[in-house]
Parts: sequence; structure tokens; C-alpha cells
Amino acid sequence: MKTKVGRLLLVLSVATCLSTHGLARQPGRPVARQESGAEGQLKAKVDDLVKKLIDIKNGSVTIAEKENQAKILLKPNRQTILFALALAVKSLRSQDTSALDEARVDKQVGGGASSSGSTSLVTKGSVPAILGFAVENGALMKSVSGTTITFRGNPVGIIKALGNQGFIKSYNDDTGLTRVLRRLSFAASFDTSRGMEPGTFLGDQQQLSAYSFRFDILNKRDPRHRSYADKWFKFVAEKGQPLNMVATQLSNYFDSSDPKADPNLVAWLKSAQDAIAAAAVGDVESTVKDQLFVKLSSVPLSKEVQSLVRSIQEDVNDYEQSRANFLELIANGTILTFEFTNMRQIDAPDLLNFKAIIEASPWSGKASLTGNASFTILSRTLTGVDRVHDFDFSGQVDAPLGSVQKIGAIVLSLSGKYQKIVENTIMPGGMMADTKGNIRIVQAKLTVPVKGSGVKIPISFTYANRTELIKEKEVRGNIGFTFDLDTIFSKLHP
Amino acid sequence: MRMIEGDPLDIQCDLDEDITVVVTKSIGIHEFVNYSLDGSSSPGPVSKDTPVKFKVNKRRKLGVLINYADSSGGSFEIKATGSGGGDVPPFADDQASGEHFDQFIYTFNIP
Repeated sequence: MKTKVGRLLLVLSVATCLSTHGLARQPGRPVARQESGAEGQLKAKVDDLVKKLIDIKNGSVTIAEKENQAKILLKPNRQTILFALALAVKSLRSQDTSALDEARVDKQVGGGASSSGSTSLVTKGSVPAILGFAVENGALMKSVSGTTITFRGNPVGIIKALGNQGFIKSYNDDTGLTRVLRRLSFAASFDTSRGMEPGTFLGDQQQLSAYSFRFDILNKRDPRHRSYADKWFKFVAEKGQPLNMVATQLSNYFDSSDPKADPNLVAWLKSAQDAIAAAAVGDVESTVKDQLFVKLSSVPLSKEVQSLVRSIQEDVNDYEQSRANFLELIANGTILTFEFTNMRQIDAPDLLNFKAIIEASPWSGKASLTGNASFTILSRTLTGVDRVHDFDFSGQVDAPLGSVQKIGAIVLSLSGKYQKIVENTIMPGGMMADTKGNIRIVQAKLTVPVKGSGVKIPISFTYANRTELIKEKEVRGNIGFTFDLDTIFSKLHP
Repeated sequence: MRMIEGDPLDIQCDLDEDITVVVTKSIGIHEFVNYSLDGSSSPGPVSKDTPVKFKVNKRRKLGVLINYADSSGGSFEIKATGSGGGDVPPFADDQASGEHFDQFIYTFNIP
């Protein structure tokens, strides 16, 4: 197993610099399932109310106007569901959804199988939204070891993130051109063993060992894919409409102008508005929570109000459960991607690879299946040399192991690859190496996440009947390091 | 029509005024928006680009539920107009992190 600590430390410092840039979630990414229910929605709405109140109080208008804005914000025409959930839900629990983002097994962060030092035998269908960063040390498809750094991302996402857009806003800006461009992504790999200072990452043209472009032909992990339109309508009609109706009915009991107004609730609302509007910035959160979870909870409720409050709690739980189930279905959708890669050779024609990637998640998403089919040609014709270099087929199954919430999801991957090399390989300097023949490779890989950091450490063991350059069987262990900035950005810039 | 005390959701109308409500801007919301007039099942889910129309022959409430597509980053703007003229500014909101839906209620008051 080759572990070049010096090089790894060097690129770790690069990763630290990169982490200060924002990035967004990828187009068509599976939406992380949130374990929320009514409690999760109550927490989100309380946090939102507190944030808006603080923004109002920090504003530049007069004190009287601030108080007026705060009271408007607290009116039942905006907060009925919050009031109902505060009455119904007894406890709030914290959520940690970044662990779920890390648990994804469908992202290709590192270089493809053909990159020097890659730990991936099969190329995955998804990419990070803005920028992924990978350092992988070892060798897989080539008998020459090296350290490759891969940057992979989406141009639309980068532009939007640099423009300080929110994490998902960059994903949901639905202009036609943007949606098409979002299906396009790119990658560039740098081999640090090349160039004037081998072992040092320079990021220059000499170290650029490959670049690639991808286009999503089919992405059924996009919640807005047209095949889901009927299901969305059914969800909104069956789960959203009852909630909206009951909330509208309950609002009457807080409304002093309505015949159904409940004097106790109207009195509480007036008192709560006055207390929160008068609270200092530093006391907003405690005042809001005191009003919602202490004062409101002590208001005697009529049977009609109790019934409506229970209905809202049940409807919100039903809404959340159905939404989570639906999004899980979407997250297991099929992806079909085309990828073009230019592998830059030293003193030899470049190799142009054309690859189809398909990914699906059968068995209710318990595993992910990935298939690749590709062929490679020389970038230009040479006398006496067949331009077609090779074609190959590969497949991989990924299965998450262990608890996502406790340790992060360790992923076990099993893969196989068959490659037929139909033409000898041109070596640097123009020498021809006898490489024709068949290559068969099997690999077992364990990917260990460093919880909450976006960092993953892939450890793989590979058996090959030969390598591209040496016709002898090879058993090899590789260890790598990948860094997906999506995870960090989702925390820094929600 | 005019808003009452600076609240674009609290509107003073003329008797029998025809009201139109439509989502004018949106990012990251589902295609269909839920509408409930006076707590009923009508008009129900309506495409976000389709205006909802009704007459104000009494004090009426229109509940609106916006369904967000993801867990953050969504936003919308909705506007009510009346046949009697006047101008009420649109109501807009940003999705809070982890919030999956947003519910609010228009109140149309008559003299």
C-alpha cells in the first residue's frame, strides 16, 4: 500500500483553501431525507420567526415601525400552523441532516478509473454541484503509480455560488438555458508526478493529465422530472389541501374580528405581540419560546380548538411522512450520463474516451448499481496504428453499512471490469508497448467518511490479471482521500 | 382595494368586488399551490401560474399553502388585485431552512 504522507499533507492544505468557497448542491441530486415530522417543522418555523424578528429589530426604521412590523409578523394570518404545532408538540429534537448528505453513494468526486492513482474502478453517475476535490494515491489501471488531484464541478453552480446565491437557489433557478447548462459538468485532473517539480501540486498545463465533460441524458433524481408530475399533484391534493383547510379554519379563533374568535386566544395573541415587539434583540428567542411553549400552552382551549390543533398536528405528520417517502423514491431514480474525457499523454497522441454511465438504486435504495460502457481512440491517426485503442465494460454495486446518524455511512463497493485493448500503447517518446489483450479486474472498496467534514477515505483492494503495461497479474491496495465541498457549504450557507 | 395597517394579507375591499390572486414569482416551489376559501376544499390545488378568482360578497379568508420542493432556498411572491382598482403590494417570503411548506391567509374585509 502506497501512502505518500508528504504529498497528502500538501494537498490537505489546498483543500483547506478551497473550503472557503461556497458551493451548491448538484443538479438533480437526490434530496436528503429529513427526519422531521411536526417537530421538525415547528423547529424550522420557530427559528424562522426568531430570525425575522431579529432582522426587524436590527433594521433602520423607527422603533414604532419596528414594533408594528413585529406585530404583523405575529398575526395568525401568518402563524396559525406555528401556533397549532406549539400547542400540540411537546418537545423539539435536533436534526443532523448533513450526515445524510455524506451518506450518498452516487457521487463521483475523485478521478475516473483511468486516472493515475484513482481508487475508482467504475465511474459514478452524479457529481458534486459546484466543486469536488479528490486526492487519491496509488494506482489502478496503470502500472505507474502517481498522485492525481481531481476538480469536478458544475459551471452553473459555481457561477451562482460565487454570486452568493443560497445553497439550493442555484439549483432551482428555472430558466430554460440554466436548466440545460446545469446538466453539464466538468472535471480536470492534475498528476503531480508531472512537470517541473514532481510531487508538488502546481495546477499548471504540464500537470493537467485529463479533462472531461459530462451531460445528463436522463436524471430521474431531479424532483421536477416530468415523470413525477402526477405524483406531485396527488401529494399536494391529498396532503397539502387538508392542512391548508384546517389551518384556515383555526385562524378564525385567533381573529378578534371573526365570529368564532376565542377570547382566551385573542387575549394571548395581544399579550404575545406586545411582549415580543417590546423585547430587546438579545431576548427575542427566549421571549418567543416563552410565549409559545409556556404562555400559549397554559391557555384553556375549547373542544373545537383542541380538535383543530390535533388535526393540524396529524396533517403535518402525514404531510412530512408522505413527502419523505416520495423524495426517497426520487432519490432512487435512474441516471444516464454521457462523458467525454481527454487523457493527455506525454509525447504521444492524447486518448479520447467516450463513456456511457448508468446508475440505479433497486431494492428500495438499499444498494446502488452502476454500469459503464466506453471506448477509447487516439486523438490523431498514426501510420500503422489502429486509431481505436480499447473498449471496456464495468459494473459496481455500493451498499451502505452501519448507522448513518452514529458514524456516518461506511460504504462497501464491489466492482468488476473487462477491458479489451485492441491496439498497442504508444509510450512517451513514441515507443510502442505490447499491450494488446484482455484485462480483467475485480475490486473491493471500503469508503470511510469522516463525519461532518465532507471528507471520505476510500480504501480498496484490487486483483487484476494484468495491467495495461505489464502482462502479469497484480494484487494492489490503494488508499485515497476525497473532499466534497457540498457538505461543508450546506452548513455554512443553508 | 387597499391593505390595512401595512399588512398586504389584510385587505379592505368593496362589496362584490372580484378578486384575483396569483403567484407572481417563485423559486423552488412545487407546480401546484393549495388554496382554501373560507376553510373549504375549494379552489383546491391550482397550478402556480393560474390565477384564482372569486367575489367578495362577505368577509372572506383565502388560505394559501406553498409546497417547497427542497429543504431550503425556496421563495415566492404572491399578489392580490381587485376589480375595483387600488394597489396592494405583493406578499413575499423566503423558505426557512428545513421548512417544507408555508401557509398564510388573506383576509378580504368589506365595509
